[in-house]
Amino acid sequence: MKLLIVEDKKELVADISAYLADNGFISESAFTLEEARNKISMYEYDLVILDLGLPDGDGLSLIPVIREKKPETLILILTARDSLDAKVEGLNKGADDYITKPFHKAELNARIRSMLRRKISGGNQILREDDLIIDLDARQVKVNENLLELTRKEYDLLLFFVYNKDRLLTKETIAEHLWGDHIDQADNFDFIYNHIKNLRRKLSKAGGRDNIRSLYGMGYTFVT
Amino acid sequence: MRKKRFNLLSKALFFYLVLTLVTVLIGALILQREADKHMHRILENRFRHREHWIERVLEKTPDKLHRSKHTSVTELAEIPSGFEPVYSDTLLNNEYTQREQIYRKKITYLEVNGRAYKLEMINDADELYRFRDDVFHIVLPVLFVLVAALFLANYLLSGYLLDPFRKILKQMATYKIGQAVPVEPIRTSTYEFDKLKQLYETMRCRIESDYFQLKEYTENMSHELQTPLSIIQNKSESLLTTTDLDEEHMRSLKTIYDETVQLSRLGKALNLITRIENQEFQNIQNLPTGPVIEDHIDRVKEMADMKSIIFNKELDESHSLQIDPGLLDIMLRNLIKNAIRNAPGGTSIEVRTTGSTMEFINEGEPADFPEEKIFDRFRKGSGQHTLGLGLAIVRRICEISGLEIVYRYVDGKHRFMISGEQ
Repeated sequence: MKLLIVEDKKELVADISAYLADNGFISESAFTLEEARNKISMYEYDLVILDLGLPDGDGLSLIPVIREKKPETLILILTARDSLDAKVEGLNKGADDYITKPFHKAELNARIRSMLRRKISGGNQILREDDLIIDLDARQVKVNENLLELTRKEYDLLLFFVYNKDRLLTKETIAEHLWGDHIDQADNFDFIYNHIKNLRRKLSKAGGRDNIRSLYGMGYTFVT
Repeated sequence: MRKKRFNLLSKALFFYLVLTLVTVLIGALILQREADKHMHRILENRFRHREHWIERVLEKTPDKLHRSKHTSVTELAEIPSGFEPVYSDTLLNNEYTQREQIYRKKITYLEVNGRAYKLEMINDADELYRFRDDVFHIVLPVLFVLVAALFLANYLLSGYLLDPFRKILKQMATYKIGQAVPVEPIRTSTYEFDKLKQLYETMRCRIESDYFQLKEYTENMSHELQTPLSIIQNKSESLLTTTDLDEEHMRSLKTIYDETVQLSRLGKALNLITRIENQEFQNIQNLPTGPVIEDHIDRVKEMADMKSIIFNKELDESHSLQIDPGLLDIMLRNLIKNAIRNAPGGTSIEVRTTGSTMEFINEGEPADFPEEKIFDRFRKGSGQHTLGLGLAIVRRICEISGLEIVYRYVDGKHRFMISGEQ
């Protein structure tokens, strides 16, 4: 799995690639439009993370170049432009997903994972983690062959944990992942605790391990 | 009480009318005086002619005292000392026309060949009086014609003369900041209007330039800030995941992280307000609200469940709003978010649409600020850590979408009512 990060801020690129490396992705980086163009023409990438505001032009102009080289390359736009029009424009030009800055790395990771999953058609859509077996197509989770009765949000939460295992997920990251703009950072996040309590209960009831750890009340980690 | 206002030409017309009336009246008085003098002179001439004639008759025949209807001569012992001729006008019956006419009588004294006579004469003054009246008969129609002409001129000129002025006013009234619509050039040969037009254009250019600079600044600020904020957020997130920090450091780091997220949200919210203000959401449609509300409630259902909050929906299927879909989405999201945040656990949130109104009602403590301040930016209840922009955004959306939003706190319930035309 090879990724290209097109972003002019070196610090951010370093951060993203380190995070992605931890998650098993190999990534290369391009800091300008020109550099990105050269890399795309020389190598093939499975996924391109594309910033729009590049010093030498608009990242959107890279989309046709990427598509021409390898049509099935996934494109994830990563930008500070958060207007609906900008999103629609990016997606219309052929991007597969859109994430606005600032973003949680866990969210970026989850998005990349789900993009890659969607791309694989008919293949193995089963994710195994410890004693968990997650059927991504059917959105079902089994623990020791016991099917878990999870609500939509509980399933999303568990998948988010598995995608970002062994990492602290802050309450904000979790809340934003599950509810997006329907939640404010300043809202009371107690209901996340309830969600996690229910998830833990269901997991242990099915005979699974309790992998979810709380950290100083700031967030949770799914330990493996 | 509002002072009554008149248009410029009507005001000018009023002053012209007053001026004309005064001028014509003074003119008429002068004319009348001249006419009086003229009349007096003519009558005096006629009296003089008769006096001469009587004098000559008395020179030849001193004893033949003339006596007729118009003249009577009487002999006197002597002429009273210091006498002045006496004039008086009176009405007498004219034997030919059989109607009363004005006559002038003159009484004077003559001395012919050492004998004194008293002379009384009357003369027809009717036509002369009529001449005096004619002055008014002439002046009045002239006055009427003048007034009519002024009104007509006012009517025609207000169309022709003030047309450029009206166009400039219309341009000013319909001017919207930030709209790069070319302004229709206005041609005028009137110096004042031309000056006004130039001033308006200069002012508009200056406002536009200031506005675009400010807009660019705001956009750059909120956009360009996001990347550094991303870096800070990601770095602090990375640090948070390292386990070799003690709890105190961890908490400090969490504060940095929280504030970064808050700062980023603030930038986004302010940017959103700017974009709403700039009327960037123009895809206005007639949107049925029922399905959109259902969808929003569905998305926050679990959040509400956790607080044991129930949504009581009474949605009228025919209720719809004329609004941009993006704006409706933002508005509903903020109203529902606000209701969930403020409703105490175990209570219910009522969402009602009926006819042309949409209501969001939730229980809760009264706000610790005046009701009308609830939509102000950065206004939030004590102990709340929100941005305080949600309801400001909602109000702005209502304003630019032509909807009315009313907030009331009645019987322990916060009530937001949005009404607009269906």
